[in-house]
Amino acid sequence: MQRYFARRILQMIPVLVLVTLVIFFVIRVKGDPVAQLAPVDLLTPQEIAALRHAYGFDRPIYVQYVDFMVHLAQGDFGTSFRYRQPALPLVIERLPKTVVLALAAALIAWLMALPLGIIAAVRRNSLVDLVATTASVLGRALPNFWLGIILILLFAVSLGWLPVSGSDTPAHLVLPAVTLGVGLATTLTRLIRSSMLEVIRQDYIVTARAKGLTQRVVMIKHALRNGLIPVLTVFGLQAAWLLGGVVIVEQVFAWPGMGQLMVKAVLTRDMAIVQAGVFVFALIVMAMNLSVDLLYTFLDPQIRFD
Amino acid sequence: MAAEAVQPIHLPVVPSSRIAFLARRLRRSPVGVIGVVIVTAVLLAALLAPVIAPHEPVRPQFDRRLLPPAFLPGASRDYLLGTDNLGRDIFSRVLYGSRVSVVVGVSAVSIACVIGVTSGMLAGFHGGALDVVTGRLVDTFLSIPFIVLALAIVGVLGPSLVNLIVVLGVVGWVSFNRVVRGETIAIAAREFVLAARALGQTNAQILRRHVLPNVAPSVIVLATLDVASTIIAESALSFLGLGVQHPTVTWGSMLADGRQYVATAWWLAVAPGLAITVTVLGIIFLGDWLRDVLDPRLR
Amino acid sequence: MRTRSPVRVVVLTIAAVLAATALFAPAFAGPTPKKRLTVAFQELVTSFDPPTDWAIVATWVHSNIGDCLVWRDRQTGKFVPWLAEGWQRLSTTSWRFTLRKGIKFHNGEPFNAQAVKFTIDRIQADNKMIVYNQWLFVKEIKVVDDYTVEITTAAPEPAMLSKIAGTGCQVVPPGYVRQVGPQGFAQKPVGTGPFKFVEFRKDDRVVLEANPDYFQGKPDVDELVIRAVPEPSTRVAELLRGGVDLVVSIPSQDWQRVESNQNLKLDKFLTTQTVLLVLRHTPGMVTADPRIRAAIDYAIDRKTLVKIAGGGAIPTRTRVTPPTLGWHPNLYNKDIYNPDRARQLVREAGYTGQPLTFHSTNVWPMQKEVSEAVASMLEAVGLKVNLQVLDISTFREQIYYGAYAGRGNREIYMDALGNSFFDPWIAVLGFTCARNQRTDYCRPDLDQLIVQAAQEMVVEKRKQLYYKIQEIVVEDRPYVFLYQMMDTVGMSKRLEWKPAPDGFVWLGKARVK
Repeated sequence: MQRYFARRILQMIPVLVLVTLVIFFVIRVKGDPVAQLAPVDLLTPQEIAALRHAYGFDRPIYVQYVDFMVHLAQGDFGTSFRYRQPALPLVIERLPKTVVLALAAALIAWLMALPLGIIAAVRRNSLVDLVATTASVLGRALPNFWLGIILILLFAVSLGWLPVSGSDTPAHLVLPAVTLGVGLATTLTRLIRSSMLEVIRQDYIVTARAKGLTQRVVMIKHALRNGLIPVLTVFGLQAAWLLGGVVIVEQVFAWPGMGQLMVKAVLTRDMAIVQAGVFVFALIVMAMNLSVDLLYTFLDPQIRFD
Repeated sequence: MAAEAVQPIHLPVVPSSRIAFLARRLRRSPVGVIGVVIVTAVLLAALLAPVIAPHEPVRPQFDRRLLPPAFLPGASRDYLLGTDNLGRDIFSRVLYGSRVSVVVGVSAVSIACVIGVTSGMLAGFHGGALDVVTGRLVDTFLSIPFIVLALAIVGVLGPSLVNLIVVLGVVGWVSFNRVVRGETIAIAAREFVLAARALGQTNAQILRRHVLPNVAPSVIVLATLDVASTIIAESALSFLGLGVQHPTVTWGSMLADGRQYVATAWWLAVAPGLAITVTVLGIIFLGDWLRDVLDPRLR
Repeated sequence: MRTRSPVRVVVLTIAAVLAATALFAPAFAGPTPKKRLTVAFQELVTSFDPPTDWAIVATWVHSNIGDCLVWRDRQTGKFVPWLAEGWQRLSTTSWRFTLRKGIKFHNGEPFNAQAVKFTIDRIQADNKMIVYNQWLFVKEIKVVDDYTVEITTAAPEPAMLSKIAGTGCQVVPPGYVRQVGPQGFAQKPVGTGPFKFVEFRKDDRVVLEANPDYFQGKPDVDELVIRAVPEPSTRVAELLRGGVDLVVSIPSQDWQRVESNQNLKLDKFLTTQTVLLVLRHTPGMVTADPRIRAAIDYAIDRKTLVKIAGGGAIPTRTRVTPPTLGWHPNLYNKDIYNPDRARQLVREAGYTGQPLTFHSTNVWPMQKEVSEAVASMLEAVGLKVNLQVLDISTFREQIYYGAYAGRGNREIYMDALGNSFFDPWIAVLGFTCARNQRTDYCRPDLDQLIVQAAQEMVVEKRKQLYYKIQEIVVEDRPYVFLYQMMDTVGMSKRLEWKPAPDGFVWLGKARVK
């Protein structure tokens, strides 16, 4: 077990190298940030060339990559082109906001999905099931930005219960977390329902029922525990998606998190921030996958890693 | 009980009997009927859009901007669902939009599904180096946020329908891989697989006869959800300005463009929003029903 | 000891809450309530160092913290004394500026001639400064005494006052900049301006407070909060909810909602921004044919575009708009819509149906809609158009590579160009052969006129020269101008403030009820 995790952690290194390589070339093969800054209507080619030279963008792209990697090996992600500051601290100072938003959304999603999914599974094809399905589809079919705008109009502008945007107080967290959570809850509900249906039909559940255990005990002790394995797998993925996908919700609610920073960095081709952000993001995702694997062994003792 | 589980699952071989079987099952499931009806209707709308659409979807009529739907006061009877900010008929646009949304949703998910299921089963079943390599590849894909990857790929390839499908397909395989791998690991440890192995079945046979049917229910649910996510993701890309280009009409871009009018001309976004909801609902119902039908333990 | 009754607990709790409230209350409402003003922009600065960030919003933020020698009165287009109390032209290339005395930077450093010299020298010493090229017109700056500087220009500069008030003009304190370095200054600026820097939370807010010693008088606003709210509908929602007091560029579909709100007012005004199509003259492209370019000009119904944009904008065939010197009465507020003529020109040109690439983006209100409308107007006269509405960075790359690498953008792209210099020189600079990368339009005789106009010191002669330049350009059509944009500001009725035609937000003299 310990060896397994030690190996997994070692395996992160090639992944991180691969990630930086992919990002660097995918973004930089297209161009350099000068295109984003230069007032094309006013500069002569000589002036453009001087600007590119000043920043070192006129060197061959692989030289720039090697240069980047050499600095990275020393723990230096380089300086943000836009902010003229070291990139890593810029990313890290945004992280808490995004993590808070993602955690709140995940909490809301589980609180909604667990009861809905179980009820829908236990009472399959009943009215409850149909309503739960329809509701969850609605949650899915409404894109984040749309739901966000509707929630703002309703709860902030018309009713005046909650602030419109920003991140100052816990009240500011409610609308963005709900917006994000609803989309996530949909997938979770469907997966929990499907997974529970699977498990309910398994032999040991039938056996447990035959032994005369009550419905509730069977559901929670046996069915839920096993039914959660595929759900957790997807949730691990969704959580990763959450961290990366908060972008739109952050933008709608003016939430100053990592997502906004990353999108602006990609749009302005601010490589140092993109790399530092993706790097931090990759670490989080890998840690999350590792924890999901750990949870497997906890939920199903038949699964072993070695 | 274990003996029953060892029975390989065979779908009816003769097509006609398969259809008859499906039809028989359909009669017993109202949800299945709804699903089939909706999906058929959407496919028909996509196919017949040029015939049904009362107006040209891309031609602006500058003197008829932002007309409300026909059932509201002040509306014109010619425009069932009203007109948009350039005076284009929303009903016709929704009809034409179904084409792109269906094509994008189905093709992207198919790509994702094939790559994800194959790699997931192999990784979960064989384990070892193969599992490690796919696992790290998955990590790599997961570690690059969807939006960043999409921005980058669209930036390099340029925005077009095919590129959009590629982006969404390439991003989507990861979840299929992870789900299938996880389930395969669990299934491979079950008695009936061990029994099949003891009976001398090859790995390929075991994968096809025992693993695939058992992961299929989750895959179908995931795929139906994924078609929905894909349609929505296209909308998110439109929101960020990376969507399909004019004059192609998509539900996603209609929604994204309509968001600025939520408070003043709600029909701009509600029409494509409803179209997406109903379609997704239909696909999910269909998926639920198919899942029940295909589920070996429900026979 | 008595037992605790529930009543007692409740009373104690209430007392504790009251005490806590009393304790914290001063933070919210002191003896004299602080006048706080909250403004929401699409984005914030990335750097507070003026010459390093010239995003439009950044220039607004910089100007509220720092001051320049000369102030552009945006309502009249005139230049008024500011940190300089006067100036004198010594020759065609040298100027003397007399500085105001007794002004101090926020940190107490005195404002003087050394500071002015330091500010300009600093830009000229660093070619990574984004405005580096714009300040090359200064050849030398000489400190005569503590309150006098003499500036020599590289060439005769009729637009001297405009340029000396250009981006990056805010005078910085030499001692402080040397002490904290460029990175430190970019995070924590010090200026002479109406507001002092308090706090910067990136992508969230900038907090400024009134400078009590401001030389134009202490601002009425005690605390200025500038928030970043990227989504336009969220900005409008914040305004309607009362969360912010001032929002610029309200989308036209929301004008009615703002106007009908009893706490809000909507101010519409003409900007200096002109919406235009850039046409490439490169041989081999469809738009190389002057008849096709003319057809494009005639095909566009500018009045309809104005309606789509929300109304109030002015159709135009030039980018030099009033009150800027040299605006041409025959070209401004003119529409030449004539689809029949356009169709005929397309036929005469022998157009074979090769599609015209048309790049656009979606950054200003209704840009996507206007682009689609233009595309359909061109198609209506028989041209095939391949419109691509790209995200802003891909768009910029297309233009950049189209201009400098021979790939990327081809026939047409849409842009909106402003003129915060309020001088025609910048509006025609792109028509010179040296700077024609986006059009490949080159006429040596026009080049001569442009240089001559840029150096002509007699105002009336200069005006005539700019008339002539515009008359040539309108026939050659490197650009087809569409309309002068209308912009809006939505604000709380408790705010007394007038927006500037270039959209500039300076709140040093805003009043709050």
